[in-house]
Amino acid sequence: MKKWIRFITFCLIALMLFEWLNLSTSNANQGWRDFYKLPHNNVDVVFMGNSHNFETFQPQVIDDLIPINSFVLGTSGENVVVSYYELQELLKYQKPKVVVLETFALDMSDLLVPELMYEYLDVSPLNINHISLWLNYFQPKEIFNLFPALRLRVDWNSPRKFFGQLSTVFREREARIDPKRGYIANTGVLLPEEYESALRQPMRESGYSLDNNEQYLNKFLELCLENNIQLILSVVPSINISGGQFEYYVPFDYAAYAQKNGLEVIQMDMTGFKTFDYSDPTHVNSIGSLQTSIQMAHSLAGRMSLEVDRSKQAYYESYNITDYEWEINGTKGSFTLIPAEKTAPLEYRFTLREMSTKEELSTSGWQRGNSYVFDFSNVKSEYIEVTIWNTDGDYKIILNFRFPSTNNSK
Amino acid sequence: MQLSTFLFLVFLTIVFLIQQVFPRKARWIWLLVASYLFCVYSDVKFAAVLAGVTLIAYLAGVLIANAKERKGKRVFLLLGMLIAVGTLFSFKYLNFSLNILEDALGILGIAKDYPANQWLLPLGLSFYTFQAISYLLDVYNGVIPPERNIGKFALYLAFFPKLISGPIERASHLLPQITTPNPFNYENFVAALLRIFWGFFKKLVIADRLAVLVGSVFNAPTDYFAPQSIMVVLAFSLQIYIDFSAYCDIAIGAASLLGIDLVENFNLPYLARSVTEFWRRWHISLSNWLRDYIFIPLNFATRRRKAKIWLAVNILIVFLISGIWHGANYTFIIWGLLHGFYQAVEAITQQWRTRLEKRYSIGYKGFLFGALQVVFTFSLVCLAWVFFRAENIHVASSLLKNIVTLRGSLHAIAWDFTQLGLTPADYWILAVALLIFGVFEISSRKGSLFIRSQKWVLPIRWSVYLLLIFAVILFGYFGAFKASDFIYAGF
Repeated sequence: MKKWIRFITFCLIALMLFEWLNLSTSNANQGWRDFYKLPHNNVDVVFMGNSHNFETFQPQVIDDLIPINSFVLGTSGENVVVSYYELQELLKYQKPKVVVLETFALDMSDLLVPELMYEYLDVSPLNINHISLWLNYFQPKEIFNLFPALRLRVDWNSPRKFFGQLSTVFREREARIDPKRGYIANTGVLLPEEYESALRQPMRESGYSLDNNEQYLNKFLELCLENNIQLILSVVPSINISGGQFEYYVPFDYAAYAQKNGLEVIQMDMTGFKTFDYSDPTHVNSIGSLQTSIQMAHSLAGRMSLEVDRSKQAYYESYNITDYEWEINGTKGSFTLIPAEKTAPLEYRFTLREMSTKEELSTSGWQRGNSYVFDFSNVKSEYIEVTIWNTDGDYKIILNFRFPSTNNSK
Repeated sequence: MQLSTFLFLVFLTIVFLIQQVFPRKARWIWLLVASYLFCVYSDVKFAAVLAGVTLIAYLAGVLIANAKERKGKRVFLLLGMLIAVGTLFSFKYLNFSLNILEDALGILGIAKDYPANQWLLPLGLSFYTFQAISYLLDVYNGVIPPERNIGKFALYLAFFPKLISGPIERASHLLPQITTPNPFNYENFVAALLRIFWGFFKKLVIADRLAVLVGSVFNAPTDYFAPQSIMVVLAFSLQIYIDFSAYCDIAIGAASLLGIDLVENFNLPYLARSVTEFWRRWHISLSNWLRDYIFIPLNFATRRRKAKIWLAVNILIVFLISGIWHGANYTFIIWGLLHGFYQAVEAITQQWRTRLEKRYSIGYKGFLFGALQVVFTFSLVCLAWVFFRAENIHVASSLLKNIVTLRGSLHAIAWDFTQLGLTPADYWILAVALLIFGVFEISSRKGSLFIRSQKWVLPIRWSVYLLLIFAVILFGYFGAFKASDFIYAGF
């Protein structure tokens, strides 16, 4: 009997430690965590979808330009099936006037759901909604995904974040809501040759069926209509979506669907977008998302009969850049960012960092100048992080520039 | 279902708990159901093949025993073996044989292209086919009576912990345990759990990391240099041992939880002083099988021929079969023949070497001489491993060329091991894990650490057990419970 008591005690200790680890490693979307802190019935517009959504729309910017409260919800690789369950969940707490669904959630086969739904399940409470999503798409071989500690790996090359999370997980959860309200900034900058290569990728469809997507989109629309919510579809900027990059990609005919169901589609105008507005062929970075958010604010203003605050718009537009330049001479480098608006009170902080550990190797500190001269040792494993700040406000943008592939100036 | 997955742990837990409901002598029924569920989970067609081989072997065994004359017994034996081997051949060797035929015809100037068979290799076919053959031979030779209960016989072949990659169990060892599993014993229960987690540690923390290193060079040997190639050959020798022994730890631990003892498959093989000794320590169940069912009969058949060359020929035949059994590729044949060659030379020169050692008082029992023998044997084994791992002869020869020509050894880039797919943190984790592994292996010489550790002071043993479990969770490679396949699962 004693042995069994010891055995059970050991198992309980192991389970408690395991749960501690689960809480520490979970990458549950901060947007969802913050969502539950919001006062009820406080949100006017919700942006939903996968990374094409939450790495593109900035509620902080949109809400500053037009008088609304918006929020971004979504998880990585989210398919419209998960969006449907998310909508059911969010309607328990909020009654938005508008839901903007980013269409890439329709372009991925629901075969992805068994692997990717756990990022949402981590954060959603254990209720009927949660269980029915899980049971609908449960696959035995994915059962380990239920536990973040088994699903996610600690980056032992820079374990500080992990140990930080271990130590803070039991502190009282902050009541403060991150001002980004669900937006996740993508700070990478696509290199010119990557941009060219992306343009040349063939458009390849995976051939999977999208029947389930359409079924769940119908249910999504029905839920919106029942709750007097206007559903708008959005198409964010991208260079090229190829089946080679996304194994489960099947383009959904959202235009036909929108026409058939009387829905509006907000197609972002990409004409002004340059290489450096993207972090990869299908995602805009923080500069690109700023431009997209300004566009979205105008689109929503038109549909909701609101006025855009022009002075705030000018503030955000001052962050636009027209180009950037590198000069490499041996182990000495210089980086220059060329702003579109030369008279704006912009300050810059340039930091040379090591790629795998993000260790700061050198920094300029805050300065007015838009150039930085530095010593470096390895073009492949270092990069320049640039933080831009218009001192008329608090908003800051971060961009990470990798060294060019040749040693010439860009 | 891979053994080193969370799903397997869940499956094993459910099987264990339900098994407790059954009386001990009826537990085989539940284990049979569980084993077929395990097989069906991979593919229902695999279960059909397993059932087919089981039925044939069962009927052949009964018919052999019932036949009154030797001739009749032999007919049923040969029929049973032919069907079992034929099944294995169809799934595993047909395409390779057709390729050989195409190559041979090509040499004769005849171009021929045979369509490839698209069948997947059924789970564990190589292993349970050998089990079926050993059973039929044992029944034929009167070593054991035939198993008349088809359910128990089916479990003998299908028992899920050993289904994928062995050990290759003898009927005389496993069937009695199926009838009467071991009674529950708390110490064994804990030892079994520890052994399973130790297997997970070896597989997920060490072997899967080494796999990245090995894969980077074996996939493109001409992109690398001598020091990197040497390191990767050493890494593979560790990877295959740790990977396969990890599988065996999980299999043996799982079986032990269910009241069944499986045979050990390894005994510190890299401490062998000769290749002959290596094969007494490596994949013991296979080498015993080859010895008992091929080598001894061959020796018996050639017993009247005194020339040592016949011993060498028999050894080469055995290891040719071993190579072919491991895989349908020229590289496995070369690997097998290399080991056969090593042992043939050892066998032929045994008396001469012993005389030499005694004559010159080389101190062959001394530590230094023993160490040299171990190193030399390890080097020979590593050389053979190059062929075992290489996808084709061209890859193997490129890698060996790198080593033999000391390619690029004078250049700094040749000593850059950071380009082999592992980060600095991975190397540190590997180093510490290998140290722990080494200490464990050495300590195990005094007896099972899984049993001995239960006598340690409580805080220490609990700390060690918790560290083991959480080392797997935190340091397991490739998302921990989404592990890469065991090397021997491909056989």
